[in-house]
Amino acid sequence: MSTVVEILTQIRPEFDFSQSSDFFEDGMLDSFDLVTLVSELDKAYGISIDGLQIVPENFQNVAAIEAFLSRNGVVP
Amino acid sequence: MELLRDWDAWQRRIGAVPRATATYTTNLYAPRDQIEDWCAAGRLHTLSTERAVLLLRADRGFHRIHHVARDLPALADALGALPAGTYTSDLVGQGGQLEDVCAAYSANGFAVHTVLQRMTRVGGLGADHDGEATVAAPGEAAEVVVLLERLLDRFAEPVPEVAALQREAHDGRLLIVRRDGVIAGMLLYEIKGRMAHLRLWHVDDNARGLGVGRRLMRSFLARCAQVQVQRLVLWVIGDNARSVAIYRHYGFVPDGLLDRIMIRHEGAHR
Repeated sequence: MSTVVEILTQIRPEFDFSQSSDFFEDGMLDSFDLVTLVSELDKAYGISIDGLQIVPENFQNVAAIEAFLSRNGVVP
Repeated sequence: MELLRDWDAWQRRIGAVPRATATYTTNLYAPRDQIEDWCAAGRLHTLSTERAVLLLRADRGFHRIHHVARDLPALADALGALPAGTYTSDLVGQGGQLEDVCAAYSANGFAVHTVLQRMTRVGGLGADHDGEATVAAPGEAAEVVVLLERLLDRFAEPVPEVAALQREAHDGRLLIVRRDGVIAGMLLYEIKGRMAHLRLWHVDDNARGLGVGRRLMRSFLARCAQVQVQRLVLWVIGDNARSVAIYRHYGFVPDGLLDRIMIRHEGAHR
């Protein structure tokens, strides 16, 4: 299991995040969860996420999150 | 304060706040479509400083504040620039995370009005019987608003506009129970994918103990079961032991997230 999936599962253990292409449309994450997710990614990868980047499009599925992390210089 | 006209203008405002750091602070959780609706209604103003921007949303006789700030001192500076008026702000987070941001508000004349806690129910749907509450017609929305204006603490629980509630009714998300022709209780919900949000559930004082609330809740749970909802969330006033106990009865438990509602009344600060 990747670290991204581990973090997501810690936030919402009732969902299988590997099966969704859009966590928000599927109701697996809400805006409050997004804030928690950003905080956890900050801690896990030692990065600082710009407020303008905190939009659902960057966090809507595992691939999007990993791509976002890559753009911020992190190898997930 | 400037009237905010559209999403692009908002992006320019927050884009002017210097790049976020670990000290970045915000309480803006509204999605883009919600912000665009508020803009279209002419209800949003902004107050910008060099390192922070406040989004001020007009409500019934006061403004709700959403802040985006580089850090807490920047937030405190922006709050200090607010003109006279009554303001509230929802500060959401785990309990221990809220102290510093609350202090920034307190330093500018705000005090805690009330604290909401989020309660969550995970799974367990399927055995509930439909309470056979009625799906409200759009034409009944105004009557629901009258009921809510009488029952709700407007600072803690925003009363929807009639037009917004008409849309909810049209989409089947507003349930009511009538007694003797009068709306005795209402429930407003939203389902998105596998998550349901119980937004409002209220029974008129003179109809309590008559099963009105139970019918509404069972109808809501039955609708959640039909579309295989897995997680249900709601916000409740934390010190309302009666409500908390009722939600526990229906399987909801506090999940640790708090909404500390700060308020500054007109003339309380200068």
